[in-house]
Amino acid sequence: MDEDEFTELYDQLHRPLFRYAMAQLRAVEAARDVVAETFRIAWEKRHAMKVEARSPSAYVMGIGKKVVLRQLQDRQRHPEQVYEDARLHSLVTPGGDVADTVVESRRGQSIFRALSPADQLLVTMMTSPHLTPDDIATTLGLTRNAYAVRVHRVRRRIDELSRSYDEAGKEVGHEQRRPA
Amino acid sequence: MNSDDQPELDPECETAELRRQMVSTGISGYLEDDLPEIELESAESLLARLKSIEESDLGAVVPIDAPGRRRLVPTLLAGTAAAVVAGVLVAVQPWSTPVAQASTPPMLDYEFAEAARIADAPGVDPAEALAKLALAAERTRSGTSPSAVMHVVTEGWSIDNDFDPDPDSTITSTRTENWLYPDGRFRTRAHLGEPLTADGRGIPVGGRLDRGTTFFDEENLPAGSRDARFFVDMPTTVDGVRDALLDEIDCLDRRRGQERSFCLMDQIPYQAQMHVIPPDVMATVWRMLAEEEGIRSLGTVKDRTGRDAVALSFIWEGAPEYRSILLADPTTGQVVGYERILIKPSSSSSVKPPAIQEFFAIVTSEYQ
Repeated sequence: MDEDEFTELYDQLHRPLFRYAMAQLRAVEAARDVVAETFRIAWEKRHAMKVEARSPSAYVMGIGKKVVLRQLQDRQRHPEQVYEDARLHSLVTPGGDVADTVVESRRGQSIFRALSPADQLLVTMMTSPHLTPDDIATTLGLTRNAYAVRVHRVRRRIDELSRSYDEAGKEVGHEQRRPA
Repeated sequence: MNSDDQPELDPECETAELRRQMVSTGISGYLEDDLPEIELESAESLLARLKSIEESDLGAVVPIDAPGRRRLVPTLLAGTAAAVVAGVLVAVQPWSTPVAQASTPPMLDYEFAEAARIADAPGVDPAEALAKLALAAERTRSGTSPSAVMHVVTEGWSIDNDFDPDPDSTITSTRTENWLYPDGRFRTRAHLGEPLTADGRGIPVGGRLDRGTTFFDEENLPAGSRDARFFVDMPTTVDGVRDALLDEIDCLDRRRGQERSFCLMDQIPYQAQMHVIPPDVMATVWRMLAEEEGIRSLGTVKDRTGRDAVALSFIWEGAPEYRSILLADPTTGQVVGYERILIKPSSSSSVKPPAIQEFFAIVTSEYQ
């Protein structure tokens, strides 16, 4: 992978990756770190990428997933760091809800937050038009058919959550979420 | 448990429909609009920084531009691998004991099926093992109380939720804590576990969940969602136990045979993750399995918590690519774990066999 390819990959993926990291970590600085670290690793492994990765996009998102996991593990060992992240950036409210301070779709937020983390990753990846179904399936470790079934189930889940939101007139939150 | 019976759907159509749905429900708007004031580093700036570091050979930890920002935990690079053992990389950092690095968890060694032979080891007649488990269960005292809450904690991994194609990745389990209330309310909370050790173990047993463990998911189902008395009211006859389990999964074929065995070997571990199974029912479950087709014993094993366990294996003719293994405690006769292994190539999985597709270990099963 040369510099132009790396740049193109970064332009395509850094914002979906940031969104996914934000959804899991709820801290802007931590999510920024995830993006930086992910692409640092991708750059270091650029010579191996063509050999190892059927899809560079999926490979990079897979690295990002791992980096987010490490961030979560790091928090487990150093819970005081989460508070430090929250103090560093004013966009994070005391409750940790970044979306309250920016323009948002409250309905979309409620439904998205009620999805499992695995489904949130899939949905976040969908926001990037550069990621094909094959890219996303590879990142998630799924065959094409298994991926299609997974997407179908997520759609049904979003339908349920959407109906619940409309009927209840409030956020679906914890009462409606199901584990992946 | 995951079913291999998946309908044929078109990935492109499903993707397009989901993207449309995300727009109509506001999810896309939320995800795309939540970042107007957040500036991310440009590709040019990042590349310049990476090339600068590369040229000065600073190593793994990248200093972030703004002062005062928290640094990342040093990451594991492929070059830090200390050894390669049976395709599993071992690295020592940042954890104090070697952790497993691979795309899927390391395989366990069974008394009658070494890890390297898990795909075709025939196992032995399970009659003796099942009889001993039944006796062990009968000797265990029951803690049943009509007003008690059933509390079951498992720690596991599944390819659907946790897979990372990077062979250098660590395998970290998810700790799931379930409460089933007498009125049928069901609560489940998921926490991040710890990386497995290089031999695929290291899951801690019992005790209360450490409240510092990272929580990341929760579900609450209302009263009546589940039948808390499913096992409490179950007849303790072989036919009664069998019928109840087959009813629960609506098994397609209730005659003795592969289909029935598949249904039973699917339901037992599934239910054990949510219910505290009374010892007398558990004893009957083992006696019932002794009458079923296709079940084999793989002998003893050290499970992923390090406990001694007895392993019962089943390969369903309907999906011969997979081997299911039910783990039981030889002292109490209770179910303590489950493994599902890809033993032949499958159109439903992208990994190369033999490979763990899913496992869980029951670390707590009690009334509260």
